[in-house]
Parts: sequence; structure tokens; C-alpha cells
Amino acid sequence: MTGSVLPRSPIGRWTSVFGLVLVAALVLGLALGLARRAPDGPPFMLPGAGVIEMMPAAAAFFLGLIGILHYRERSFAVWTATVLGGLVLAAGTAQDLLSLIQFGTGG
Amino acid sequence: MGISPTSHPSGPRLPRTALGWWAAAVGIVAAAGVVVSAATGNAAVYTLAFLFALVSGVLGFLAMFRSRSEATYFLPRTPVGRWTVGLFAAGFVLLFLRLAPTAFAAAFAAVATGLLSMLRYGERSLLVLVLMLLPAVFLLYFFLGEFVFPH
Repeated sequence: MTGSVLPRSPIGRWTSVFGLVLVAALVLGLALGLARRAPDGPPFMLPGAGVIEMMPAAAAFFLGLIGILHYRERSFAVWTATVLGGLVLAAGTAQDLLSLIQFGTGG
Repeated sequence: MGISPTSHPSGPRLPRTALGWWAAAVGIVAAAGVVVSAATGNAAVYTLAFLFALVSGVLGFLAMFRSRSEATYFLPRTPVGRWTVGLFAAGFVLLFLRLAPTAFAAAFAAVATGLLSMLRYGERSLLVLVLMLLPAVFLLYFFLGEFVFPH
């Protein structure tokens, strides 16, 4: 599976789907992040936008990792989704840890 | 109960077994529980409804395996299945470390890997099935809860 752009295994396809969902969530998060600044915005979903982005990021990262390690998936789409997922997941986890250190609870 | 030769051969696989009917029945009770809890504001009924949903999910997957005459086992046998167990364990530990968003992310990844292992890689482990459905129901419980019991 070297040199291909699109994945050919089921795990590769699922990784790509979660990668696309992650990109959509990031774009949506940006839009909602702007709305979040309004004082009387919807109460629950907007503060949790970062959490929502972490979920597809984790799925894309771990599925990509499993595909690369166990199923010889080497397509460009899988590498991209895995790296992007890993970056978003690392950023979210770092923010979570900082919050834990500062306020005694993550989030 | 096995597959009846006279039952709908081209229809959905689930209701072909007794387990499938049970899964559907328990699922209907769970959905009714959510509606009742939304109407009455009773949180206990809501929680109970999700326990029923978990049971319905387990029965549904077991019915699917049985309808295909596939044997189930306890421990995972595929790499994706083993990762599901690991991700669930990681999420559980992270939740106790009070890192809720990261724990939720790990739980979601466990659901994704579990579903993939079941649907695409032929994983038939009961452990993976339960550890995939638990966080799925848990995440749905919290997500729907925001609508059923708004702040």
C-alpha cells in the first residue's frame, strides 16, 4: 500500500472518514468559537467545542496508528489524518493537563 | 433458537433470532424510558433507560452473531480488538485522574475501534463488545441528557 493517495483497507477508510469529520469539526469549532463570545449563547455545546474536536481527533489518530502499525496502511490520506488527529489530541490533552494543574480539574 | 428457513431470507438479520426480538423489545423499552423521563423530568428513569439500551445493544450484537452462526469468545483476537480494550482502560484511568475531556476522547476512540473490529475485522469477543458499548451508551447518555434535562 505504499505510494497510494487513498486508503485501500477498511481501517484506512475509517481513519480517513474520521479525519474528514475532524476537519469539519475544526471548521465548525471556529465558527462556534466566534459565537461563544456572545454573553447569552447556548449553554452546553459551545464551551464543549474543544471536547467535540478531541473525539474525532482521537479516533483518527488511534485508527491511523493501528492501520500503520498492524495493517501496513501507508496511504497519504491515512498519514495526514493520523498526524492531524495526533496534533489536535496533543493540544487538547495539554490544555486538559494545564487546566488540571491550575484549577484542580481538567476541561 | 437458530435461523428459521421460512423466515424472511432477504430481510434484516436481527429479528431472525429470538435474541434479536429480545434486543428490539428491550430497545423499545429504553426509548420509551427516555421519552417518559423527558416528559416527567425523572432522572432515575433516564438512567434506567440507558441501562436497558446497553442490554439491548449487547443482545442485538449477539443476535447478529448468532444469525450468522458465528462463535463468540471472551478475549479479543484481532489487533483492533486489543486496542479497544486498551483505549477503554486508558479512558477509565483518565476519568479517575479528572482529565474528563481526554477520557471522553479515549472512550470515543474505543467505540470507533470496537465498531471497526466487529464490523470489518470479524472480532467476536464479548469483552470488546461490552467495552465498546459501555462508552457508546455513556457518551449518548451525557449528550442526550443535555437535551432531556437542559440547564
